[in-house]
Amino acid sequence: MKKTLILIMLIVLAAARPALSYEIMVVKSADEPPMAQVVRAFSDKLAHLLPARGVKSIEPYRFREIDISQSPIKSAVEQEIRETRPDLILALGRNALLAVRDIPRIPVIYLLVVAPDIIIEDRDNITGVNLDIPARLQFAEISRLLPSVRRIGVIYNTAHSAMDIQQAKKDRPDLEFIALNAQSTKEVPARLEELRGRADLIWLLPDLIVTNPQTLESYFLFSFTNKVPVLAFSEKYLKSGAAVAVTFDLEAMGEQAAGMAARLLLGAPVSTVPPMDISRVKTIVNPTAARKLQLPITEETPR
Amino acid sequence: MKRWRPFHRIRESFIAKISITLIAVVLVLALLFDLLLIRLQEKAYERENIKQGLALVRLLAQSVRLAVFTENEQDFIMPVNAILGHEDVVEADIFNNDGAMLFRREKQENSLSRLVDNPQYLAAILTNVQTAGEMHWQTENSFIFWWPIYSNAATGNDEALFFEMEDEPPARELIGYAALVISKQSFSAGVRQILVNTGAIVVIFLSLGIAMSFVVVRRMTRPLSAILKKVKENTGGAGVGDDLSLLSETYGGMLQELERSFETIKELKDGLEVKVADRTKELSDRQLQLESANLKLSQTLVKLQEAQQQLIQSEKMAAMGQMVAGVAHEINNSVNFISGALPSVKRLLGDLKELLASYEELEQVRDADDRDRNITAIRSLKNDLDFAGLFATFEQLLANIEEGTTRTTRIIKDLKIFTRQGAEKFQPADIHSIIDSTIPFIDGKLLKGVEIRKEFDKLEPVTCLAGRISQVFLNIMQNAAQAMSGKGTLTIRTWQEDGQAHVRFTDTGCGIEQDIIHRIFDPFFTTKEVGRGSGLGLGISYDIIKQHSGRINVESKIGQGTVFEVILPLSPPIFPAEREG
Repeated sequence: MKKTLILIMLIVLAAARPALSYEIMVVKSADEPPMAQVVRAFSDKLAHLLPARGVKSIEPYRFREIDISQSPIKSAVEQEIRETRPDLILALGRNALLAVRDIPRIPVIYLLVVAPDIIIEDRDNITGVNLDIPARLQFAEISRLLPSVRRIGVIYNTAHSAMDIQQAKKDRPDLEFIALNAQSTKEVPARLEELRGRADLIWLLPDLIVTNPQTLESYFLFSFTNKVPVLAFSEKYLKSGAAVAVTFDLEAMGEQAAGMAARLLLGAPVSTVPPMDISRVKTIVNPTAARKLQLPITEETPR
Repeated sequence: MKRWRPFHRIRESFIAKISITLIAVVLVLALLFDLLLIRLQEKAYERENIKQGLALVRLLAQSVRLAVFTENEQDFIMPVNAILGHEDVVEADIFNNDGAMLFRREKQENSLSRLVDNPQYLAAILTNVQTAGEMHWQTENSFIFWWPIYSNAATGNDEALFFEMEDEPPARELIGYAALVISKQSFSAGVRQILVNTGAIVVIFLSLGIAMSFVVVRRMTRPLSAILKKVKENTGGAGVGDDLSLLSETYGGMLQELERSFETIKELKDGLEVKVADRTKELSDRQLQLESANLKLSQTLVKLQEAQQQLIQSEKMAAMGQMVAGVAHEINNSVNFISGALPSVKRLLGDLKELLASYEELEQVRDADDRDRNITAIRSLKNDLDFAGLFATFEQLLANIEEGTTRTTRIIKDLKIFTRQGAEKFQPADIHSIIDSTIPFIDGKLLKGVEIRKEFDKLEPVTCLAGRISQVFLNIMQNAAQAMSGKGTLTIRTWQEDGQAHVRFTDTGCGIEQDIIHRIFDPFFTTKEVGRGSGLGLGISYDIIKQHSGRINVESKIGQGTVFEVILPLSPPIFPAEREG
């Protein structure tokens, strides 16, 4: 009886149709460490989220990677993708999203893209995780680390970052936002001077008009001169002089994208998986700056 | 009195000239070296100042980036004041990238202010600074440095806001220019200090160099001084100006002599080959002549050897003749005893026969008368015959005959001893016996008026060839007898001393000339008349004594006589080969 059962199982297995694993095309703007980190997190998480399809499946999905900094011609990238016909495209970075945005029907998940709306426009096969760090998360961390901070000084450009100010004010009505508009980069130092004595913290916005290599020096000079800490949105500003960075967690972003990908691969339409803000942030303190600015915080590692 | 003229002495002294020249060279070299060193140090110091100035202007450009970016005058004050805090920085100017002056701070009026106020000059300078990356020059009173001011350029990449873009180099943007004017006051003071320090060092080393040069010259020219001194001594030091002239003239003369010598050598060399050829030919001729002469000499030598053999033979014959003459004389003397006695013996024997016949007749006479007559006749005969003395005469004659016989026997005996035919072997012999047996062989005529005095001391037997020694003695005594011309004394003295037998023959003859005394033992040397001597006697004697490891000494004084002393070892150390034994 037992032998008969085993025999039947073997016949069933032999007769089973070979099941294909999911083909995921990873398109990267560049071969940068953050991208590799987020892909790793995406991959790990996806393996847990996707069930094995078919009896012969060993791996639930398969990755193919394209680094468009190595093959910058958009048509070539599109051609390769069309030939491969992947089940999903993971676009990492602005240029990657630009390269794949015109490929129809294949769901696209973007990551690490600043202001993706401008690129996506009305395309309905694209979704992803926004890079913007919500002000509420940032100031939640500030309130935790520096509860005495009430006056937030910020330089913004009306055209680019007025929404951020409005959102922040909306999210944290308990804080006072001294937001000064700079029409050009050159105005930033002067605007900063206007904040002298009026702010407990300077808030950096991801706006190229107000935050760029030419203005950063002004921020940090102001910070050290006036003993006002700078809150940055990326870890990269810590070594230049920012006291605290509340920034995205690449691992969390990868996992978040993996969740979206799993749903899409399992058949959910893209319209049901809308773009998401990051769900988790990472807070890093610059101990040197904190010490010099005499900030009562000691936390250095991400929360 | 000689005046002390130091400058004159220096002018004359070669060593002083060398010293002064060397010191002058050292001085010039030191000055040149000093100037070079100062120049090098000045250049190095200048380069260092320029480097420092460029560093300052670069620092200024870096520190005013934000101020230039904002063009806020207040932002310039702090960084510019920091640079102007340097005591030598007298002016700092900041321009934007359009050439508009953003800030100026100066401690004193200087040329840069006037220069940059001219837009054309300024534009040229800024273009140059932008192209070259920096610019500097110097005026009489200051260094002027320019450096461009760059700011990090804002990129249009949003991702750069969030991430470190490793592959992209940070872009930069020219936003202005910084200019610094640095006073040369400190620089000039530094140069002056270099000048003083270098000068002091050079003076110290120069002093040491001069002192050492002087010492070295003194030491090195010591041999030269010695030569000069010698030359002056030889020339008397007169007529020559200074040492150099003296040396020059001396060595000039030597050179001339050398040239002459070389010319002579050359001439000799030129003629040498001809001379060598001539001489070679001459030598060849001479060699041929010599070979010819040598051949003749060889032939002559052979002839001489033959003649020598003949002479030796003649000498032998002469000696033998002399000996034979002596022997003949002796034998003749001895025979004279016999032959002189024989007629008398014959006569006496006739007398006796007559007497005996008378007695026989008497016996036969029976008659008394006749007997008486006969007896009377016998008596008369006896008387006639001196009968009484007849036997005495007879005995005397017999004695004479016996004497002659005895003498002849002795001569023969001596002759046997002399010839020693069976004794030519080294064997102990009595020298006295040899002398005694030799004397008789001296020509008796020569010894007529000669007294032979023997003063024999005690002598042990001498191992010798007795016949040969006898020949030597005979030669010496024969010569002595000849030298005394039949009148004089030949003293033969013997004694023994230190294992040697000494035999000294002293004659009172005419003596031998001192200038020929050393030649008397030479073969064929003789002073005798031709035919009387061969000149080999003493030569042979000399060889015989040498054969016995002995020696012959001779001393002579003209008119007083000659002394021959034969010294023979009692036992010759090595018996010579008995060539004739």
